[in-house]
Amino acid sequence: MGEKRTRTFCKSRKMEDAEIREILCGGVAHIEAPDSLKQKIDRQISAELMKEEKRMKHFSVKKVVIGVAAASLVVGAVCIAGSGVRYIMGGSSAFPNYTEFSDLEKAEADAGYEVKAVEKFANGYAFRDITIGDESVVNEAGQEESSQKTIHIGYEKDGESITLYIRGVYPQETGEAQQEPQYDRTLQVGEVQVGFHKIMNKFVPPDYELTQEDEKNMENPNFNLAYGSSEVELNTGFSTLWEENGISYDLYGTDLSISGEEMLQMAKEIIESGH
Amino acid sequence: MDESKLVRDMKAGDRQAFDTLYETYKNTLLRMAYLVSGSMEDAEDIVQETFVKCYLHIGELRSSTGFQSWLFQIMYRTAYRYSKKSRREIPDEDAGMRADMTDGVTSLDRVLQSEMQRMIQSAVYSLDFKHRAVTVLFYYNDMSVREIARILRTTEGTVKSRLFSARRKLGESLGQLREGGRDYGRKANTYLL
Repeated sequence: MGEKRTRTFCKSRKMEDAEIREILCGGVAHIEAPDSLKQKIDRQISAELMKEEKRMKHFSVKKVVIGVAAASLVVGAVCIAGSGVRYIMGGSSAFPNYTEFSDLEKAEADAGYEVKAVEKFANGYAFRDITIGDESVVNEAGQEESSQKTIHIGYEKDGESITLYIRGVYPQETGEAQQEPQYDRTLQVGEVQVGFHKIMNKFVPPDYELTQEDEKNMENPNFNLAYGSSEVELNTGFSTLWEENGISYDLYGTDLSISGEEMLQMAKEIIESGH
Repeated sequence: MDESKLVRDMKAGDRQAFDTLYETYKNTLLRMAYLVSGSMEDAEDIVQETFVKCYLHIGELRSSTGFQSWLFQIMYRTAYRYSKKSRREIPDEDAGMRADMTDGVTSLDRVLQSEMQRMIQSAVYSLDFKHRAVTVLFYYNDMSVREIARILRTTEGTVKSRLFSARRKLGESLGQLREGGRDYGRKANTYLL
């Protein structure tokens, strides 16, 4: 009896569903996209692309920010005069590859180049681990132009972390279109110039809509907007940059309690380490 | 043409692939946008924004086979934002009726059909956005609970619960309509005699 009632109920529900479906579909069947809609879309895409290209010119290739471990995200952009914009995509495993400083040589072998680093800094920051990352240069059409392994050396002190991001300099990075970040302070160590600056980082979801404030911030070369996170995240990056022997170094941490001067001294220790 | 290939081509910067995908989805998306927004003006804006985002962010689509779900997801997020902005709950008079007006002669069946559409659409628009989105995906797009959950990024249980409430409301409207329709039919027949 109950079963029969259930069958009857299901049957009537199916009929009702079919009826609602028919009415809803029938009610909008006549709606067709006008030609003007496609024209508006094309116009807006062109405008957005122009805006994007302009925005990317304010990015610096040296602005390397790895915000989300194990995720691949845009970490910078390279502007090449006359040939468009290239994006640097970077990512790494959430787990370190090495946990002993003596394994740095293995990391160098993985990356294919030699680097400088120290095990402990004078201010107390001490080695934690090494992670090997992957990075590639992608053109506007999404094609990979070159790639390399990167070395990320983690240091810790009183619960704060600083990472030394090391990678080879891309051929695309050399050229007059290259734009330097606006350094807050610099330090000359022999022939190497080290620059320190703070970066306002904003990580946003893929469909994030830029606010007026974002648009304004885009003019600031020390503002970094990275697509790829699941929600909007803000932090302040402390970045200390230099290049030596074709290798790019970025001593980087977020929301740190140390000063820029102290970070420059840490960079000096690395440059003078002779490792 | 194979949609996965079109998506791959579009990722590689092929503008023609985008145009083909636009042609494939433009009407479906516009109709869905109209059903969830209740306004032709908003629907066109929503579709415009959806395709622009689609073009600019296609590189972020991981699997080329998931294009449709991804596109619908963008459309619903955009429509949700519009729903917050415009708070428009009542559909335009224009679009729902246009199909039924032909040469000025309206048959009784057509009047009843039009009335049914109007009442069901009113019932749909009386739902809040989240219930409306589930309703449109289930009834208009004929999607399964699992597919809807994936698009709206929610659980299958939540979709079922929303669908249950929406179905009850639409069913009530349909019931009233049948009753009213019978009365309306009788009155109209009397009048015609």
